[in-house]
This record gives sequence, C-alpha cells and structure tokens, in this order.
Amino acid sequence: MMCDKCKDCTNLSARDVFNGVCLISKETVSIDAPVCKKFVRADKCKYCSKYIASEKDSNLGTCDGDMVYPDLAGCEDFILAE
Amino acid sequence: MEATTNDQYLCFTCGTPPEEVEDREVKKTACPRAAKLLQEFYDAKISLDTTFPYWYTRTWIKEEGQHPLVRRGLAMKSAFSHLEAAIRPDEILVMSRNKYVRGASITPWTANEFPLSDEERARKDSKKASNKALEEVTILATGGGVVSESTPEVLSMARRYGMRIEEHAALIEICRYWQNKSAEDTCWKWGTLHPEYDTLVNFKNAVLMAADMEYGNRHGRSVTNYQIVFEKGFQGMIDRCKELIAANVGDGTAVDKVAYWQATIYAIEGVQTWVRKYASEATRLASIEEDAEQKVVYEAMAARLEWISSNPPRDFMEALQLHWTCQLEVYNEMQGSGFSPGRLGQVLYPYWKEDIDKGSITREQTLEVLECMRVKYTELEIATCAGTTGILAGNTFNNICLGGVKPDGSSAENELEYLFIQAAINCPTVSPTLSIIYDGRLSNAFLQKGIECNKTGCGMPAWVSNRVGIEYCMKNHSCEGITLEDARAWSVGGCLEIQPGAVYDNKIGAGSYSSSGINFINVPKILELVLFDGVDPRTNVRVFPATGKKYETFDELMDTFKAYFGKVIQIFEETYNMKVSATFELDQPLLFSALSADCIEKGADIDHAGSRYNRCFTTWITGQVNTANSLASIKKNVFDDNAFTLDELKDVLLNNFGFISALDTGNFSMMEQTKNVSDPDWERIHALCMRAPKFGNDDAYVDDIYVQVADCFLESVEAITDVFGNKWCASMLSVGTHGPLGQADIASADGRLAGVTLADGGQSPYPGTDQNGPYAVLSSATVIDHTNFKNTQLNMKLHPASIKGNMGSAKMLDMIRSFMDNGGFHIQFNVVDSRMLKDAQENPNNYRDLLVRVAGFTQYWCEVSKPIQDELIARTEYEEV
Ligand code: SF4
Ligand code: SF4
Repeated sequence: MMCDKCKDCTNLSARDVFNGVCLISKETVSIDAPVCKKFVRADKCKYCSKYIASEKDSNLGTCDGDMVYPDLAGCEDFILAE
Repeated sequence: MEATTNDQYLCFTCGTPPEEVEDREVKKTACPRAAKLLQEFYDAKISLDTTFPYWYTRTWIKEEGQHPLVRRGLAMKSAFSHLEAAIRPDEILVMSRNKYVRGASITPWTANEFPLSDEERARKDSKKASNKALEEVTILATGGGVVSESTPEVLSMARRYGMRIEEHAALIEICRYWQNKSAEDTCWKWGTLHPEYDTLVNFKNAVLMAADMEYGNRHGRSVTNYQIVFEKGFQGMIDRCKELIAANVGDGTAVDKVAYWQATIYAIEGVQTWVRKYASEATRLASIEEDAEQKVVYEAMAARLEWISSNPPRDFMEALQLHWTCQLEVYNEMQGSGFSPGRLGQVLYPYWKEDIDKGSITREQTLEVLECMRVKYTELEIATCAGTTGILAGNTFNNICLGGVKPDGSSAENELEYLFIQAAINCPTVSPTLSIIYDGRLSNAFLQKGIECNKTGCGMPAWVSNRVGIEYCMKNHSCEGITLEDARAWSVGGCLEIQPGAVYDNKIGAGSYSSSGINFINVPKILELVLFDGVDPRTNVRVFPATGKKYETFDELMDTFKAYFGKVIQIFEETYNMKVSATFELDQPLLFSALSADCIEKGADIDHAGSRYNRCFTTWITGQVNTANSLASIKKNVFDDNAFTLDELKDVLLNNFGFISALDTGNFSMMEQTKNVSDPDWERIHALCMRAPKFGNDDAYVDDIYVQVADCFLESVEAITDVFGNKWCASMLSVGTHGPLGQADIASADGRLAGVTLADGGQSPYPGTDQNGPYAVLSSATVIDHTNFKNTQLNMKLHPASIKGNMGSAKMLDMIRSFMDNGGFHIQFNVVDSRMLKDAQENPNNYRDLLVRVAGFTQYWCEVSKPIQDELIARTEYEEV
C-alpha cells in the first residue's frame, strides 16, 4: 500500500533528494515525512489513470506501453485515477 | 619509520609569517535575501533528477525516422516542456536546472555508461579506452553538498550525486536504451578504426591523459552570446528561423539547413514552455502567499517570466532573468562545463543605465539581485563520471570578464561592473568567477576595486592581459579572417580559455566553437616512459615498443622525450578528430548554437562550423613544471655532474626514495611524507634531486628546459589539423587534474614522491621550491611567449599581511602590472594564511564558507578533495610582496 509523503505534495519545494521546504509552513521537512492536513496531492504518474504498475519492480510502470516510473511528474495527459 | 616534513630542501613560506594566524583583511556580508539563499545552498545536497533524460528518450524513440536534427529538436522540446518549476522562498531571480537546488541530470545520449553497474561496464572496459584506470586513482571530496554514501532512500552515484532509489530502475532502463547509440559508444566504435587504437587503450590504462572529453565534456569553455536573444527575444529567434526556412525550402541542397532551423524552433519552443511553467508557478505562489510584500515579488516575477518567454527584455531585471534562463537551457541541453557569461556587465549595462537614470532601480537593489545571481550560479552542477568529476572538482567554470576594451579600443569598464565585484566581495560564492581583463586604459579605481575583492581571499578576480588576449586572437584566428574589433571583444571561456569575440549588431558579444579536445596530458608520465623504455612503471603497461636505448647525452634523452610527447599528442588528436566527428549527428548543441553568432544566419550548429570562429580544438597539459624540474635534475646530476647514473635513478624512483607512497599515507603534498627505508645512497640521490634547479626561481638552467618542453608541446599540437581544417590549439592549465594525475605517477627526478599531487596551473612553481621571491616567479613564468597559447596560468599564495592596507594594495597591483608588462597572460591569488587552511582541514565544520582558489576556479574548501587540499596548504606562501 502506497503512503503519501511530503514529496508527493504540491506545497513542497524540494531542496534535494533528502529534504525540502514546505511552502506553507516555510519549514524544512524531510521529503519522506508523512503528510500533514494541508497536503495537496501533486500530479504524478503513480496517481494517473493511465499508469500500470510493473509486477516485477515497484519502481517501474507503463503508460500506453511506454516505460514510466511512479514519481515522474504528471504530464499534460494526466487524469487522476479513481 | 621516520616522518619528515622535507623542509631541509623545501621552504613552504617565503619570509616569516606573523605569530598569530591572520584572517583576510576584507570581510563583508551578503544582503539578508542572498544570505538566506546561500544558507539554503549550504544545506542542499547534490541531487540527480531523471525528468529531463526520461522525456528526451521517450520522445527520441517515438520520433524514429525523422531527420536526426529534427528528432533531436523534438526530443529537446519534450524534455524542456516537462521540467518542473521550482521557486524557493526569497528568490527574485528564478529557475534552476531542475526541481533541486543543486540539481543535475544525466545525459545518457551523450554518456550512458557510468550510471550502469560495474558488471555491465566491465564487459566493455577490457577493450575500451576508458576512464576506468583514472577513476581508480581519483580521490573525490566528501564534504559540503557531496553525497558520497548511499542510504536506504538515496543512492550515491559517481561518489558525488544523490539519486532517489525510486528513480534508479528507470534511469538504468534509459541508459541501457542508449547503449551502442550514445556519443560515448559511438566514439568508442570510431576510435577503434584508428590504426594505433591499441596504443590509445594503453595510454588510457597508463593514465597518460585525464578524462575523455569527446563525450563527457565536449562542449563548453566558451562564451554565450546574449545579444541575439536580447535583440529578438525567443519568439523573434523562432520567427527568424521560419523566415530562413521559407527562403530556402525550395533549395534541394538546403535540407540540412532547414532541418537545423526547424530543430532550433522546436528546442526554443520547449524552453518557452518551461519558462511559462515558472510564470504559472509564480502566479500560484502569489495566490497562496499571505505576506503582502512577498506576494508583490511573486506577481512581478510572474509578469517578468511571461514577458521574456517570448519577447526581448525591456529592463535590467528582465535582461538578467533572460540571461540566466539562457545559461540554464545550455547546461540542460548538454553535458558540458564552462559556458561562460563573458562580458556580462557590459552586455547588461545599457539596460541598467536606463533603469538607474529613470529611477526604476537603485544601486542597493542591483547589488541584492547580483548577490542572488551569484548564489544561482554557484548552485549549478553537472553530472559526470567520477574521473571527470575529479578533474572538474565540482566546478562549472562560469567566467565573467570585466574591463578590457570596447570594439573601438576605448576602456570598457562601467559602473555596473563595480557592482559585480562588490557582489563577489559580499557574497562568498564560487561562481561566476571574475576575471579582470587588464589594460592600461582601465582606471586606477577600477583596478583597486579588483584588489579589494582579491583581499577577501575568494580567489577572484583573476587577472588576464588584454594585450596577450588580443594578440592571441589576431595570430591564431587570422586563418579565419578575424577582425580587430572581434579580437578586442575577446573574453574568457571556462576557467581561462581565450575565446575571440563576435561583435553583433555593433555590440560586444561572442561566437566561437567550444574549447574541446584532449583533456590534460600527464606530462611527467611521458618522462617515465622515456626512463623505463616505453613501459608505465606503475601499472607495467607497455605503451611504446622497447628500444633498449642507452642515453649517452642529455640531448639524446631529450630527443626521445620530444618524440614520445609528439606521438602521444598525435594519436590523441587524430583519434579525437575521428571520434567527435562521428558524434556530430547525435547530440548537436542546438540552443547553444542559437546563442552563438552566426549559426542561425548560416543555418549550421557549432558542430558544423556555424560559429564565426572555429579554431578551438585544444590540447591541455598538466605537470609540465614537474617535468622541466625532473629533466633539469637529470641533466645536472646524471650528465653534467655524473653524481648518479640513469639506472641508479630508475632504481630509486621505483623505490620512491625509501618513502611510503602518498596513496598509502593519505598525505598528498611534500610537506608531510613518511620514510620507511633509510638507505644512505637513496638519501644522497634524493637530496641531489631536491637541490637541482627548480622552475620559479629565475634560473635559466631549468627555465630553458621549460621553454623546450613548451615549444615541443606547441609544435606537436599544431602539427595536427582539426575537423574544421584548422590547427589544434595548445593550452596550459591544470584545473583539478594535478591531483589524480599525480596520484597515477611514480616518484620523479625532481624529488617529488609517488602519488604526490603535481604542480598546479601552467607556470606555477612546485610548492616549496620557489625560494627567490615573487618577482623571480614572475620572471620564470614569462620565459615563454604567452600569445602562442590558448591559455597559460600562474597561481600565487599571498599571506593577508603581505598586502595589507593601501600600501599592500599598491604593491599587489604593481606586481600584476609588472607581470603583464613582461608578457604574462594570467595570474590569480590565494590570499590566505596556510595555518588557517590546516585548521580548516582538521575542523571542516567551522569553515563551511571558506573559499580557496584552485587552478582557474574558486571552490569551497570543504568541497575540495584531500590531494588538492594538501597541495593548497603546501603552496609557497609569500609573506612579503
Ligand atoms: S503542506 Fe504538509 S504535506 Fe505538504 S509539504 Fe508541507 S508539510 Fe508536507
Ligand atoms: S499520461 Fe502522463 S501522467 Fe499519466 S502515466 Fe502517462 S506519462 Fe504519467
């Protein structure tokens, strides 16, 4: 089961692969921290209706037959999965 | 076991330092906004993002069958269009390479091998002229923003970059796709066609050269031309390409030109989308911002970004933002370094002057944004293999030139350039580095401002001679019909490469091919091959056939050295020609070409000689001072004085004069080495080697040999023609290569021990050997004709007390003038007490913002590798000027 983290929030300005700044609180947060009440889900492939997760590798998936990865920022065709 | 400081032969201070450690005389602080951004930079780790390579590759695959240029343009458009916009609190100048502060991306269509697993690489490495041997001896920095170790969430790549574990599988898939298609693999395949390819493999295995530039860092050391985009805006550039397509579309021979223009349109459209995303993000942030003042900042930012996404800038802030966008697009487009802003202060001046006169900006506001700009440049990162990373030492080499003359020959200094210097004084940042183009027409006040900046110890400005720069351009670009106006508009690309100007619409600008070529030949290794009959004594790799030659005279030995030097250069340059021309249809620099006079008008990118000047294929060397010193020692001790034989010398070199190798002690300067065998004969020979004449003391015995080495280098380099039909260019500086190449060398006849870092720069004396004062160094450094070389480089370390006060400033300026008047090209300074560096090495956490000048660039001390740190501590410190 996938848990949302700060890295999945539009309010995160990522500083690096470890931390970022929350644009709401202006505080430094770990990008792996659990989300707060102000969480706004960012468009990412893993939330898109076209995304099909790979059975072999949880960090890979496909979109219309093209390889994608779950944390890739959503493209112009993003449609939120049900 | 006996620890020795070697100070019976070497003197690491010239004069007596004050009793107490002394800080730099000039110390200022950044404005609050820049200070906050700087803190964010200090806190940030270097991070890789996969978005750009992902979309580039996905679109490239989809567009198979298109003309290669059009296919690349479409891939580029897709990659830029999908980048995320990341705006951080306190920013006024915005945009980053990707979503991270110190973000970089791998460009697998250029270099796809290093992210792959060791097993995957090993399959090819056995037959490939690769960087593997270099990587094995490269010691990288571990402090500051470096991610040298993996965690459960983050992988350390090339011992420097952090990558999210979630993205790694995708990146590997992408890199595998590019196998046998990338520039790297294409280079390799084409290189094998050279009849002496096997010798090339042995060159690389013996570490006769630093990293491959043909794919790893092919473009850069060049100057971006902003006049084109400032005049037309992005939309105007697109429109011009459309006009040219319309005018040529009926010409059956113009297919490649049409493809070039169409590809340029696509690439610029991608950049426009990217800029507009930032504008939208600024609007979004304004909508959620509660602080009224910050809300206004976001709104202004959104309007500025929206405007520059299409139009020419109307004011200073728009021009500054647009220039920064152009810098980023070039870094994202290619894996390269040193895309320098050049005469940026002069390009921006008309916008700024109009704003100041109108009262729409103040000097304080200008200074604030210039300090913020410095943080932005310092954030720039490029992702390369560990070998190239070691050479670049984490720098991206963005050089701003100040002063010099205008195309009409009058002084080019302006008030905005004073603010550029002040921003560097206030804000301790490594980039952009500053160079003052010294000319007698510059005002004393301007030169003194430069000295004030030097006194902060930030290592900038470097000082370069306008006369040498212009003369170099007139001599070396006469084959391309250079004009005096373009020569006067010259600028430094990268850390030090002289790049001719390209006056555009009567304004100062740039337009030349990258300084690209053979990235640092290990000159001391060539002498090792002479002494050991063609075999590299460290790896036992046979590089040249055995001859069994016994040298009866020094001249005979020198002849072999010159022959080997020439052969090494010939094979490297010939294979480079073959390899790079095979990549010209793979990773063309579309956006950089659009920012180089006259590519759009000619309908050709810089790889197809679209630039106004193209004689830029370059070979660099490292360790030539150690080599001249070693040859002087051999001449004196073996042939003049018969103090020992060549066989005795070889024996003692292989035994490292009885010392433990620096690679084992972990100390990389001659200051602190450990002896484990006390053999009186070895000690005698070592003493004689150490006492032999040394470059940097105004001693003709060794300086003449240095001239012979330099002449041989120049002649050999120029004997080969590049792919554009011009002669190759010769260049002398070290960047960070004197570390890893020294680690690949055994002990040398100058008394230097195995694995110890080589002399830096082109004319810097070996640390501790220059004992006749600074003016003797300047004399030695000017024994060659600097106008023959694309760059030369001299570093000096001054104690802060030696240049204290007005008198000290005047002395320092006199010294610079004297050097330039005597024909020197470049000089730069570390102004620091060596004891502070020693303390910083022991207590790095107390010195996060300590800056040092390495060789052509400034770096944070904590992000400099140990071999270079040791060399910096050991550099001779001058207590008096
Ligand atoms: S709003 Fe909450 S979930 Fe989003 S980044 Fe800030 S702290 Fe994390
Ligand atoms: S449509 Fe776009 S966002 Fe959705 S899975 Fe495909 S690439 Fe990702």
